[in-house]
Amino acid sequence: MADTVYYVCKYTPLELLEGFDIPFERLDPAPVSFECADSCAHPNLCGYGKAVLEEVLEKGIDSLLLVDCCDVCRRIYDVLLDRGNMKFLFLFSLPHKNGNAEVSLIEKELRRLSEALKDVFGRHLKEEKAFASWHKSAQAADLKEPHILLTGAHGGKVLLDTIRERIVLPVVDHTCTGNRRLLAPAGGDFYNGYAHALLKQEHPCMRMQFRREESDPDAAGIICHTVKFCDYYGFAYRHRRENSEVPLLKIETDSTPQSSGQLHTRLDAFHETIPAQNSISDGKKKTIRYAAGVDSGSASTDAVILDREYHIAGSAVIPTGQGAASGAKKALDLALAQAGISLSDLDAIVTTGYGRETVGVSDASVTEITCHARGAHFLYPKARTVIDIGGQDSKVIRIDETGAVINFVMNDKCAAGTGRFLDMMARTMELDLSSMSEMGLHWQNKVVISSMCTVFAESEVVSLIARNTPAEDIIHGLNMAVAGKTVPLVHRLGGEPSYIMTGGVAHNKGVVKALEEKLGEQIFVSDKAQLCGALGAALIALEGGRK
Amino acid sequence: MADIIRNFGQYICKNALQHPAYTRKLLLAGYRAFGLRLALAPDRRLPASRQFSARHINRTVTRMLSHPEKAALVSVFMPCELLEAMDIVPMCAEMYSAFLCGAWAESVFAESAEAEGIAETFCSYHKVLLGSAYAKILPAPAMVVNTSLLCDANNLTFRELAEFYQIPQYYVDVPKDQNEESVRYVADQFRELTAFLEDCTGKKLDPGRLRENMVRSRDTVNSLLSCMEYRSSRCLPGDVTSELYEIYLSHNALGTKGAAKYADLLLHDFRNAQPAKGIRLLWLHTIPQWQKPVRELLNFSDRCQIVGCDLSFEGLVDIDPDQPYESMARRLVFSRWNGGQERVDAALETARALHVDGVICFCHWGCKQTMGLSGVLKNQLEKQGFPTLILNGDGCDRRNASDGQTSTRLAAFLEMIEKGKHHG
Repeated sequence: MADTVYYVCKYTPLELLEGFDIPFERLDPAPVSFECADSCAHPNLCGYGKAVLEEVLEKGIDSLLLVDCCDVCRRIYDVLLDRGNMKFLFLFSLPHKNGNAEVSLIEKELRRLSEALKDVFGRHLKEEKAFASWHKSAQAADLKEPHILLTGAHGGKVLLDTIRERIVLPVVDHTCTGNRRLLAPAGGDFYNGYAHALLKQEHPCMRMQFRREESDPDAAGIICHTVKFCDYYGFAYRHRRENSEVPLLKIETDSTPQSSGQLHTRLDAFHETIPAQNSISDGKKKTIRYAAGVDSGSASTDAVILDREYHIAGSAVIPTGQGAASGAKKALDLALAQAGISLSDLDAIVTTGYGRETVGVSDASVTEITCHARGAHFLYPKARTVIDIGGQDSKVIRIDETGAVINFVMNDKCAAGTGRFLDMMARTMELDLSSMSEMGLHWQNKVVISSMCTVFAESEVVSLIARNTPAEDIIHGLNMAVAGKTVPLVHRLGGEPSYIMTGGVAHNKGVVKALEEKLGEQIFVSDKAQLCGALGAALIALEGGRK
Repeated sequence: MADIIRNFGQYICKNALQHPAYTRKLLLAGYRAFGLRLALAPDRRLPASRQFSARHINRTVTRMLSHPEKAALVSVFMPCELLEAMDIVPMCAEMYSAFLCGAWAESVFAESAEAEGIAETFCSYHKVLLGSAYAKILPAPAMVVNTSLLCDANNLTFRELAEFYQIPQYYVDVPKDQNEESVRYVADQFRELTAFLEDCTGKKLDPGRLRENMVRSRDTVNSLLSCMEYRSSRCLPGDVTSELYEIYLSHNALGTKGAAKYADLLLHDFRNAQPAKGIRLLWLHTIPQWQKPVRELLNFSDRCQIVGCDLSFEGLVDIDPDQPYESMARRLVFSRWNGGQERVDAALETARALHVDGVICFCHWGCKQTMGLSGVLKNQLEKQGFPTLILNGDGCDRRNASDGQTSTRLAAFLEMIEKGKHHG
């Protein structure tokens, strides 16, 4: 729209824009790539900042009102200023404190903004209109029914819609750009009163020196959202983690629609920790003879068939290959053949893993978090902490004495510390994974692979090979690097003995040893470690979908 | 020596989480032993000023770790004349972490912070500091005093540590607008800070001591500014670690006898220095002094040298000892880093003044301020004829940098400049 002023931050003086009759719109971009942003800024800016730059450059937006709210917003301003071509570009100065001196600074900044708006748009402030808008902005009320509180960095419509799709409760947007509520007007001079109301709004963001994490008695669960290269909300998560009495989930995105698989798994697993979710119909529960679990993972698809006596009647592990559905069918067929039964003998099937919702007919789908927890408890009832390193991600799950999930964490999007990382390194060293498993135990000299980035680590490995470093020493260095990525997850979760390791990487003896060394604890590894997710799904199927 | 330090660091990493009190003592003993070496067998390749800075910084770090009960945790940009006037030891957050990195002991603390939920992408200086606090290695200081300048990390780390240790914090907010109104606003906060310090220590500020410190600050700044003239045409042997030390000496240490002595020695060394030779580089932002290819290519080299680091010059503004609060405020408000274009302009001015052949913009992991501006810096510097390399890396955490990549980029940049000079 012509003359529309775009903005991002909740401290933007929107009511002033309303008073000037200038239309405004919040930027809520979700680009598929950051080509433009990366070319004029730097790849290591926060995803939201890059998304804003991308949107402005791609769509030719020429009026932007930014707030001096964080390093990235300041830099978006500098980059756009350097490029020129903007009709209106304003950086609104925002203090970090909220005393009288700061109100006075904001008041002057509002007057400076008014002058700029007058100059560029040729309009004048209608105070009554601004007052009316301000009244409205002070009226919103807190939701007084059970809800999910989305807190942290800007998530935007894409994230909110994804959460609403996966979780039945209403979601309150309490992120740095949401839950904007000003103090009500109290008469007097517009600029002074409005400066006061804007600065002292009810839900300050994390950059404010006086901000503390607010409690929300009606929140049934809290999702703490962080964006890669945004500093603020890891701290908020830490405080919430110490004080939260309701289920708490940390998710990280980069403001693109990518990684929906990981996001869905986390949200679904979080949902499962909030009571009353999907289950197999009661009618089926009574007649179960055989139940199957299928774990459709990124690298392999596993199937397990259990009989009513909890014996494994059949199992299969195959590469996932091109399609989740065909991989699942193949794995299930192999397991059925081993059990000597046919598909019609199965009374319940539960699917899990990244492809759990795309593998075709099943009675229920449950996340691999819950399934690994259940499977781990079955294999090793003493287990209280499950370390699962799979092809695409690594997870740490704390479980209680019944195998129920108490809490969990997953690695972020980066591949470092996952099975894929070891795959890539094995390829670089021209070794197969089983040789790597053995060789990692026979090292002589300690080699430190210091980079946590997979690409940097690969270049370190290449340099070590060039220096004729024995392969055993390099593998041990890699194993310690994987342990170095995983053990902080265990500590973040407050992991406690006894430990069990599941997933394909559990069969890598060198990695297990490195983890034991870093943890200072023994780790139990079952010969069915790779089947753990499918086994958990089969157990849930056998017990009628009870998680 | 490098192997001894590396083994020491590995031993620290191994013991830090299980035996924090022992590790803390060991670290302090290690720093003291290194200080002894600096005193008895200094690096004779360095001029007197830089030998002095190595010894002085070492003493400063051991002092702050030996007497945490008298210390205030500060950010590197925080003016400390007031603290020194009240016998409060500034505990510089960034220098503390750089020393852990120098001892090869940073990784366990970076991991420890990440285990607590601090973002992997957070500034490593701050992350290592936080991790060492969580691991109970950083001794609890008496208070926290910091400023919003220069980055978001300041808003988080210092508040977090004040809460973690349950100690008082004073926060100096610096507006982005460089004008006298901002100076008055910040000066008033320094007045408030005085009351805060008096409250915390139970002592009254002696205005005479504060004035003495401000006089020393003024003289130090003047000497450092005089060095600028010589930097443009002389060549002083040096290493990247010395450049890092100068950052501290031109910030938290201003007002101390140590900083004044360093500035005098430096001026003397420059007056007697050889004429400039080789490739002359301006370094922007912090320096990964720990990284092998950086040391190999830039330390004591006839081929190329760093003639200045913009971080050491950003706060060298006029000081009036009779207006201590306004002077400290002016240093922050008129910091050449307070604002994007201001920082670019400062880099351009310095590049011209020092007659450099090229500029290296170091994008320290997690520093959105520098990374976000790097494209603009490169654009504008190159338009004015200064080849600019954007070098990604980490000033404090070995896990976030690749020696191979750094070596290739730096060496190729030097080759490119050499070729340009040859053709020019």
